[in-house]
Amino acid sequence: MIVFFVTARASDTVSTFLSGWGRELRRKIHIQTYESLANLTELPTATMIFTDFERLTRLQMIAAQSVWTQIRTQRPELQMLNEPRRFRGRYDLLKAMAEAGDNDYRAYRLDEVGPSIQYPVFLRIENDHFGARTTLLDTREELDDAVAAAILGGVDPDLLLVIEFAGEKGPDGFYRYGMVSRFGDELFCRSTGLSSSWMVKGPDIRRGDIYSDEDIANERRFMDEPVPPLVRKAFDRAGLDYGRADFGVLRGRLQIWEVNSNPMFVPHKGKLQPERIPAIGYLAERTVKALQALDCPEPPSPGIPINLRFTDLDHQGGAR
Amino acid sequence: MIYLVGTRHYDQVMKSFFNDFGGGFESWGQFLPLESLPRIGRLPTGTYLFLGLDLFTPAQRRVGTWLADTLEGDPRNRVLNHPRRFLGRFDLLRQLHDRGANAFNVYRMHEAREIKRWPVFVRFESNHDGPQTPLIETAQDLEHVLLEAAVAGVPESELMICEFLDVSEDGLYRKYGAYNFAGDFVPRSLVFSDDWVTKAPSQDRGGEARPEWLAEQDAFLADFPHRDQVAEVFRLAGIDYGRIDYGVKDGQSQVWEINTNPIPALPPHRALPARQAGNRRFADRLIAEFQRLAEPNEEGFVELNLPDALLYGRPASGQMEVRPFA
Repeated sequence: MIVFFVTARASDTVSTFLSGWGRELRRKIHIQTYESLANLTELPTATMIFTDFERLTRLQMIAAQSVWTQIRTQRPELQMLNEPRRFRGRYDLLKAMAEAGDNDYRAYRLDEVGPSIQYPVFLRIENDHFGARTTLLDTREELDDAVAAAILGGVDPDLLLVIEFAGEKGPDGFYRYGMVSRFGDELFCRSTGLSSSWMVKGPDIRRGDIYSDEDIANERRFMDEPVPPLVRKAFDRAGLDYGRADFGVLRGRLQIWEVNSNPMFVPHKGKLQPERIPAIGYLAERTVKALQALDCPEPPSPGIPINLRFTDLDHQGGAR
Repeated sequence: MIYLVGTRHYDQVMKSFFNDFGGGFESWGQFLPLESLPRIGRLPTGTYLFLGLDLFTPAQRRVGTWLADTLEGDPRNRVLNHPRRFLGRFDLLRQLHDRGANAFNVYRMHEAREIKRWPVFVRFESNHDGPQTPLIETAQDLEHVLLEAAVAGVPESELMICEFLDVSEDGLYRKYGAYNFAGDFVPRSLVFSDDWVTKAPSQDRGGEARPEWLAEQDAFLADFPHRDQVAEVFRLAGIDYGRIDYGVKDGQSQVWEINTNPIPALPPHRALPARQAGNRRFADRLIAEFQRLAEPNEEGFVELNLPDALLYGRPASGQMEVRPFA
């Protein structure tokens, strides 16, 4: 049994997999939403995977940590991935990667924007997965306009990131990137992305993001390549031992874009270019195997009592 | 001209109102969404009324404050509902309690242990949907409600715990409503309910309009006995235009909220027949008040140059600083 902790609105990452590629795991994976933690009294003996931190409020994070601690205290032998308090968000990760010289581009909070910023840049929100909120901005004037539009449109300026663009278009006009999945100690190259737009949110067949035969062969080959050490480092820096890292290549150097704590397991079959299905099927098999390796056989023992109280959140510097 | 300033979708309320009741707003007024500010180099002199202030994000409020200050810097302008002077719902109710005007208090999530009066209920700071819970009788029950809210992702700044004050008489709850039109205080409505949540008045739910209720409402509209108390609350809240909702306990108004973008009147096809004439009269008065505020001052323009520091979070001078609740 594996328990995935996830927000209700983003639980389709798990449920979509279980109704498709991962159907055989349906009885082994339990989805526990953070929203229903208030009424949770018991968890099964299982491997616990906490996810979706980007979407959690401060109090939800404290609640998640409290549940983690209760499980860990009672059942130290259980495998648990992604301790909430170790998680570092998008800004902290990109800042650390840039300061260590691992990434050649930077992310800025608004009060850090200065003359050293390298254009073009784009805006995105720290805690969502909607990608860029603007086109590429080439000048300070364009950035000012975009920042004003975002803030006056209601975006919290504390969550607004200015990110230097680190993509590189291939000679055929496509941007390409790679993805690595992590399931505890098991990391593997997952799939490749291809996009005719600089804002890569998965290939869009309607837009003409069609994998050539060579792309398909490369994607399959990529899946058996060793994971670049920098990617593991990015996972560790983000405090995540479960998730997906996305990276591109700029002037021959790998650039970490983000590490997502609640990724789609495997692209949905119905949305795939048909020629990619064999390679993605291989990815699905690896994903199923990785999950099976994490699976905790559920003994006929009683479950793990959970008792979450608001005052506990408050005492941990919670509500304020 | 009068310019109605606000954020996302704020204009729907007044557009519907002018659509339903006429008045020719286009010839003497204009909507000015805050989002359009960066594209505007200057604004004509006139009256500027900020609407829906409780929906402003802190950053929008900073920018709104800067705009209002800039406009007020020119004596040819008149600014109503200045964002700096505006007290949000929680702060208003807390101040009213601390001054002894309201007999009930409100609390943030982390203040739950300080509650003095039970039962309580939970509502949100920036919507007008009323209570989100039934009456909560014990600290234990409240603890669970707060936990549910916390894990559901309700922002801490949104949630308010309100002590329940029973303002009923003979099992009937009365909700009074009154407007402030830039210093002109106008009684608007008195609704009756057999439920403590007076959002849906009994006379509307049952289609019933008892003669004694109508008579009491008429008396309220004619006499407006709480005028002075209402005026003081509007002044404290820094609100020049809006609708106050309140009950009365032992002759003292007990304020529940002030809405700075209220629906002034339901259109005839949605209002009870017994209310239609009153709605028309009120709508005519509101339109006349708006037209009065729109009367031209000395014509001219105010130059606008939205400072970068306002957006990038580096207040450069005292002028930029927002005093939250002056």
